[in-house]
Amino acid sequence: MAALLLLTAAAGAPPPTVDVSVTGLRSTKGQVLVCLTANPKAFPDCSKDKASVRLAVKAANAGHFKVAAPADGTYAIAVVHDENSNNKMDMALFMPKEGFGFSRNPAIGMGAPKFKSASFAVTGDTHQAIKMKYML
Amino acid sequence: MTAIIFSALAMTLIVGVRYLLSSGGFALATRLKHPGLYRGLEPQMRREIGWSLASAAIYGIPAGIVAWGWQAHGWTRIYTDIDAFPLWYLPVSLFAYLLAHDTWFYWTHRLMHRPRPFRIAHAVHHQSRPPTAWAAMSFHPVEALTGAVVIPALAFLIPIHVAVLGLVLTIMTVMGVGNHMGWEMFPRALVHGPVGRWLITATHHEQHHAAYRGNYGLYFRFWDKICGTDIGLGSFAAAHRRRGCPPADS
Repeated sequence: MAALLLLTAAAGAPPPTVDVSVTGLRSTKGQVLVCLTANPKAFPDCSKDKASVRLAVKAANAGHFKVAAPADGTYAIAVVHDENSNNKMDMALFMPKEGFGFSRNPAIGMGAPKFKSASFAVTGDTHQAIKMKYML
Repeated sequence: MTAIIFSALAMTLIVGVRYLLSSGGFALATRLKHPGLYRGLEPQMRREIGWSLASAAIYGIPAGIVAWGWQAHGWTRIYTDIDAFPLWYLPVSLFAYLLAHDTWFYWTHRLMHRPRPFRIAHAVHHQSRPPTAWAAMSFHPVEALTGAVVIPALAFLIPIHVAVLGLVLTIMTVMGVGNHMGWEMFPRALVHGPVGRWLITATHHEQHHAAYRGNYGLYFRFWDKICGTDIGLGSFAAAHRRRGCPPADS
């Protein structure tokens, strides 16, 4: 039995899935950009990290979706409600004009939260509930 | 502890740079619009910059400590979520901050004009005769302290969206510099019209620096009118004639 379990793990068990539910979207316009990364330097925009997972989900379907993590590990998720579908977070007065949210829903002050305050362990399938926030 | 010191230093730097940019910008505008207005005032302007940079630290330290507490411990009632309060609350909070600051300023400023506080502190600000764009933060440290605590204290009392707080600070900066630069930036119709009867402009504050008594307010003429200390609008004519350029309003 143990041997069998080891065998399936070695054979590359399906990657762990993070089940994400997003609440507080203020409209169903546009899309929700999702960034999942294990690299603190690439948080929250997944830039310069080839191993990160980036995807866009239609806002109308963003209440519930799945993200496949590359492997078990410590990850953080950032989402942006890209209402005008231009694939970036629009800013005004140095502030995000579009909504955003993070895994573990850390308190927001000046700038994006640190990776540490949004990160969570992925060991097998897991779930994150993200609450959207709109500054303007 | 390092984080608090870092935040206080960073805020001091921000306040100092904000002063140099805003006063420098208006001084440049003065040079373009009224060439020669500050002629011969170079030693005074050097003093104004010195006192102002010292004030930057006095403003920056409490602001930096509060900003750190906001980040690290959720201090203050500064909020970031636009829907945390109804939208009509945004202009309400703006006016609440301006009115509260104006009230604090009026009464502490009147106190500053009593003989002892004037001799100890406020005389520094009135050494600017006439004030220039560089005089905006030219205060003795004792007086700077009375000004530095207002906004950080209000942040604990009155909820405000971070963008509105930015607007409050912008208005504070622009009016602080604008009211001292020796010419009027607002249109004549505003200054001498119904709005100008309640709003403090450079023309109004110039009269405070000319007469020393009266016109103690910061943004609104409300307290001056209630307390009978409003001495009306001033004129830049004398100063402008002395420096060989036409008055601002003509």
